[in-house]
Amino acid sequence: MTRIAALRATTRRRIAGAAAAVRAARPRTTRGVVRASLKAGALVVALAIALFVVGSAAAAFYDQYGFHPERNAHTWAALEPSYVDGAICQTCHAGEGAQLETSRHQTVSCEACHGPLGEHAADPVSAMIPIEAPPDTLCATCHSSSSGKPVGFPQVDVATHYRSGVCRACHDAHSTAVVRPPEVSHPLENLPACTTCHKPEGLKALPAGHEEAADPVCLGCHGAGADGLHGGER
Amino acid sequence: MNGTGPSVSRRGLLKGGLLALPALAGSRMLSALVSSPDDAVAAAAAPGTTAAYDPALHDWAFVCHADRCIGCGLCVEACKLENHVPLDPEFNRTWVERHTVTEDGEVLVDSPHGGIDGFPPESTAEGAEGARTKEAYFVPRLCMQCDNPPCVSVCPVSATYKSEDGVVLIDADRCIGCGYCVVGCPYGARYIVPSGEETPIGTAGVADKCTFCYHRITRSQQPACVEVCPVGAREFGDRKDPASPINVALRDDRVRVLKPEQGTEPRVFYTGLEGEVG
Amino acid sequence: MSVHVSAHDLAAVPRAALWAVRLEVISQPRQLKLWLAFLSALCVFGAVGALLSLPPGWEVLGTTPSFEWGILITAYVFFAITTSGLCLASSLGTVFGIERFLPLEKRHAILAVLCLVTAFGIIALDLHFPVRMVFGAVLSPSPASPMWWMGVFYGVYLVFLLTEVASMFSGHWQIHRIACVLSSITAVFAPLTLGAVFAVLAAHPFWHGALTPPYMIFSAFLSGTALLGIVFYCVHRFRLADFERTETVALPALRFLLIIGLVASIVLVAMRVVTGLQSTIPALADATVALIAGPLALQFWIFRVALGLVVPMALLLAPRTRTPIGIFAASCLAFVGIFADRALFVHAGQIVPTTAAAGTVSVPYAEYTPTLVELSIVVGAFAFVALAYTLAERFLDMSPHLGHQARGQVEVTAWVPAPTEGVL
Repeated sequence: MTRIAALRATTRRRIAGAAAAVRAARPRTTRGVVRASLKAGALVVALAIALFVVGSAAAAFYDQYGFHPERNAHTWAALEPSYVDGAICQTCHAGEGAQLETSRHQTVSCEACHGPLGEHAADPVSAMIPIEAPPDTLCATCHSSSSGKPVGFPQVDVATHYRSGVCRACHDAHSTAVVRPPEVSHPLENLPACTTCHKPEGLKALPAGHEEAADPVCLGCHGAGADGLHGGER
Repeated sequence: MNGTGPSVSRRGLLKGGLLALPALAGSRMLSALVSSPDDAVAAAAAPGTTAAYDPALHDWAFVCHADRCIGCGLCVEACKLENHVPLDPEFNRTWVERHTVTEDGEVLVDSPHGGIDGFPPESTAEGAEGARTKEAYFVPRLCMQCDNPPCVSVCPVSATYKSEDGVVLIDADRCIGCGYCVVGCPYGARYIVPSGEETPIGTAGVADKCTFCYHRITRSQQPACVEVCPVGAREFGDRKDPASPINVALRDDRVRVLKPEQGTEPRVFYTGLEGEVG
Repeated sequence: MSVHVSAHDLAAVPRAALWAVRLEVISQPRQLKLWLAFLSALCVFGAVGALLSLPPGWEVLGTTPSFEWGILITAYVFFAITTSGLCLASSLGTVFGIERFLPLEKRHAILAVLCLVTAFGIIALDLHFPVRMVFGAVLSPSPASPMWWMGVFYGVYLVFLLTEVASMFSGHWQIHRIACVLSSITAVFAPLTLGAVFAVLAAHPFWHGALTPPYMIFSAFLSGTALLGIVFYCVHRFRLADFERTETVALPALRFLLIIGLVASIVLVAMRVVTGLQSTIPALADATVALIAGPLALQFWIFRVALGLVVPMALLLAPRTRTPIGIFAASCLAFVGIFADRALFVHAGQIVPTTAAAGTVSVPYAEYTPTLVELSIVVGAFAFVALAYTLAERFLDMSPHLGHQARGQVEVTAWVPAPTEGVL
């Protein structure tokens, strides 16, 4: 107990001593007061400046490295799209647009087959993409028959389909109209092979895209009542 | 002069006033200089973006119609071209799976290269050869943009977050590439960008995933996969817009989500599915 | 020839340091030289692998989007929980003042620091942006993320461990005691957070669940005890500081702890397998089947069960092998078994892909093979710990501080060869 009491007494004595020292050092002249006030004021100003510098540095640091998700969302939103809205193509390509409007491909956007057209749409002249018609293998991507496709969807077994791989000889991609090849205009009995006359230097040259083939192949399209036109269709 | 009483002398008042003024001035300067988030956001909005786009006004949702999907893979290709996704089939922001249900009730899944080149006539899944198929259908897959995303909660540096309009995005400058979000996603929608590749806003080594084509939807466009789908198997819209057809689909098409037992509350809904989808 | 080379001398004057090194190498016994050379070669091998894995060579890692956590994560988890295990096993000595563990006093702290530093090094190589992690964890913390907590706890743990080691060698025993207590407390919580990293992932049912964090703690205990068993046998065999009590006191105590650890591990492995097989969650059942009868079966039954649990248990229980070398063998095997357990845990959790076919995921099991770079980093990590500890054993005073009454009196330097056998 005495130890605590002694400690208390010591502390009290020390505080009283410090207070007396402060009182003794108190300025007694006006000049002294002004000087003391200036010193205190300078100290406070220095402290405020230090806080200001540290605070703004911290704020700037957090501004740059802190957690600001809305800013990052803006960064994502600022990227440039490569694909455009399909409707914009019709402003120049009105013909194809009109064809598509009533065709079975009306739900297919231009870019589905022609790829991203953002650059071309932004500057059609200098960014003139020689829009090659996509290869016919693209038709097979959607229209080749495979397990999993909805039943009502038009699909064919490409390998056995008529004139396999040369889709656009008969099908128009935009209007989806099917052009059937002409039936043979002359009788077929007692004739040599078709390619005897129908060859590059023959009586009637084969049209572009036709290869020389055996008779059944020719007759498959051009024969009367040829039913192999859309073989494999469901 | 004796200074014992609490009376305030003229000297004390002068001293107090002299001390108070700098303190007030300093604190005012500090508060003015701490930049407010709104100013920073307006400053950071790049030219050409819809600075007028307010995420709080939108609530994006997605519907996948498995009964319409034909497995053409045009969506996969469009996504890779639009978003600079590595062409390596291992990395996909979106992909298509074919589910083949056999007579025994087993569901076999195959997805050759994510479906980017379409699908072969028969299933290539293990055990599918010779199995008798009861039915088969295609399932488009992408990030579910969950409302309770496991990827957001496990990121140690808060690099991935959910925006106000419901899209889960990744801050590529903050991501440390630990892969926790990749293993945390129950749908396998995320990947770490491989070396040699770059995302549009970051480098290799950060996480990446489908963003609902955030740069398109903030310009009132559709995501690239929705844009090119030839049969309308992917639908996208704003739930806060009463005129949007997405609300009709959500209301009428008996939609469901994948892996509801995970509790992730996805924003991508599915119709036309049969059985469990893993 | 006896030369006292202390850490202070080495740092002081470069020329004197060169002389000291030359003298040191000359004075080393051949066994030690070979051992150090072997470890140095492995460290170089690991360093080369580490350099190759730095950007932009990340394709050297075998991880894929469906298998993102590979052998580097395994090694990190292994070293991190071994650190905790060392403290758990030896806190009995320092905190509770049990005399029989005093030879551990300095050794476990040094080992723990080395293991933790190695763990941080491995994870720094696995993370693509380790510096960002330090800033990001402070500026944009995510208290919902167990990995954030793990970073915090292990960072704090490193600070406490370094304080413990520094105060141990500088003689500030008050600080040392406080640091010991703090690091012992952290040693319990840190592996819990590491377990939580795996346990919260509902996407991987093999990892998911409340059992995983305690599983990590028990595993840590066994791992730390096994490592201490290895070290203690070396103390006994090479007559290192304070070796007199190892055979009679410390090793039997360690044997007891090892048995407890092995029993706990056997129970946990059995529980994990049984609950996994009976689960109706397909991913969990598939993963457990893969573990015991699928691609992981060989690793599991041979390395984890037989070599890691059954043989050590037999060695420890059989009366004929209750010798120091028997305990050493059991410790080594248990150590290998723990590493196999870590690898199997990380692998089995990801072996059933979350999506059946995201791109080109192999079904039904995702495949992962560690690349040579990854393996070299892991081998180099082990070699580094062994090399650094051997050097520490050689140059630092490892004898225990015998409390306040013996301060300043214990000055046995570790490397003085015993008169009877010329060893270290």
